[in-house]
Amino acid sequence: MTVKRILIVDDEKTILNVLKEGFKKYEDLFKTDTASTAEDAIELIKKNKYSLVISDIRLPGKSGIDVLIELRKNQPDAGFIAMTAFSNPEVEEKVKNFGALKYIEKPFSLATLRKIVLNFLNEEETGVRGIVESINVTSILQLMNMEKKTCVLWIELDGKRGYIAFEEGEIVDAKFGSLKGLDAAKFIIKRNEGEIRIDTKRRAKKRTIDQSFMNILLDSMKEKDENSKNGKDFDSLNNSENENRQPEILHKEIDLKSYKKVFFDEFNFLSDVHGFINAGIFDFDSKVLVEYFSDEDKSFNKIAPLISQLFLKSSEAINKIGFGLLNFVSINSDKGILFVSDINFGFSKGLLFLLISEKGNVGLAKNNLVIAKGKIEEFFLGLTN
Amino acid sequence: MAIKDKLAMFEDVKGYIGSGVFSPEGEMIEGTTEISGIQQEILGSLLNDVLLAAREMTEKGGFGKADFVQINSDMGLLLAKCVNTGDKHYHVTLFLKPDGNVAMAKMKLKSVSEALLEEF
Repeated sequence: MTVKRILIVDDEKTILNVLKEGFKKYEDLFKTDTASTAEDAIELIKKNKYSLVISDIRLPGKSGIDVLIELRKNQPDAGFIAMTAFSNPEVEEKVKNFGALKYIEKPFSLATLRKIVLNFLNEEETGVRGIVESINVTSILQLMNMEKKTCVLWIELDGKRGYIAFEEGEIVDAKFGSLKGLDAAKFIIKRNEGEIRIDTKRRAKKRTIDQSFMNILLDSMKEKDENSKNGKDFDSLNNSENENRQPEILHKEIDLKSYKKVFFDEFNFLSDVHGFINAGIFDFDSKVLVEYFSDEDKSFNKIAPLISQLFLKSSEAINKIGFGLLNFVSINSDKGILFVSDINFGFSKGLLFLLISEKGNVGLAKNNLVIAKGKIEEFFLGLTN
Repeated sequence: MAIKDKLAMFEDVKGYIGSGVFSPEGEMIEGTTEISGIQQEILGSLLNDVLLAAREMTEKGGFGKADFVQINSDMGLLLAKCVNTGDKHYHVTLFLKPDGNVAMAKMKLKSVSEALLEEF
């Protein structure tokens, strides 16, 4: 086994000394370099070849993100582990197979770090490591989110240029080639490669994306996973652009309004709930696609944007406090109870709502809503596959 | 009985994880902050947004004033109630595991929220 080299970056010199001392007995396996600033770390990365770089993200001057970008530029095969005070094990678990950022939560023990380093180097030696620890665009985006950065991240890929704009760690705008907004952000995440440059002096001119970073990330990962299961890949830009154009084409081919019978079968099922007032579906642009009762006094047309907003805010709230992913929301007023759930048609998404009176059967309403949602999704997924 | 003692009444509910009381400005007045993995201290301001959005939506939709929101996630349920009598205004939250007793939780949330009135 050849002697590897690792680099540890932290502005607390005491920690660096402890780690360096603690790793001395492994000198026959790996050598440990240390740096207390990002600038020093970047100099070392330019001079030496590293198997692994472990860096604090908050550093004086340049940050750990700059270290990561420099490492990516110079040594794309090297591993990178971020030391951070913010962790989200649930999200890490969900995205770990997609080359997402590896991080270690501070404070940690020498024994924990030693185990991570030895496992990493052993996997690298045996060729097991693969993509999991490689440095990629997703890792950098995750760091932007964790560190609540406001900046513009420029990406060049296949001769095209694009950007993702962050405000306080949330994606607010994106563009890539002909794609704009959420489609562009998801495309960049799914491709997960390209030349990156961070511009901290620029900010988004407008907000085109309202979803939380975690939602965008997890949705993109899910779509990528589904695409690979269906044999669709994102290896070339043309394929990817076609992939992203596909929903528009499908949207023209599958006019949701022409499937009223499918919806009405399920709305009839929902109307069995005691206290039923109305049910319907609208898209994320807040256009009502279909309603059981569409007469003016019962229609949700005028409040669809407010329901979308409420759903997004609820999703954001539970994401930010680390309470998982949103399934559905219910709102009680003195006149009724409204249930709202997202619904996936395969080629687009929307919101399914059910309104019952305040004395209605809440348990049955929730149960039937889940069943109706499942049946509608199953129908449309079958249609698009 | 102090606010803390009144929140302790939630502990009997099956699936109880934690609870809190927030000012309408989003600051936590009392609550269980040591809930594993849940950052309840930042919940207040986010919750304000959700409750305000819910109220605006129900008022404009013509079905009354929303004072209660239930958010179901894959990790459990978050129940949030707004109490606003004009001179007294606060928000009460309750976290439950996915298999928690929601019906009992709602009843307790109503009674505890009312009992908290005398503390403000």
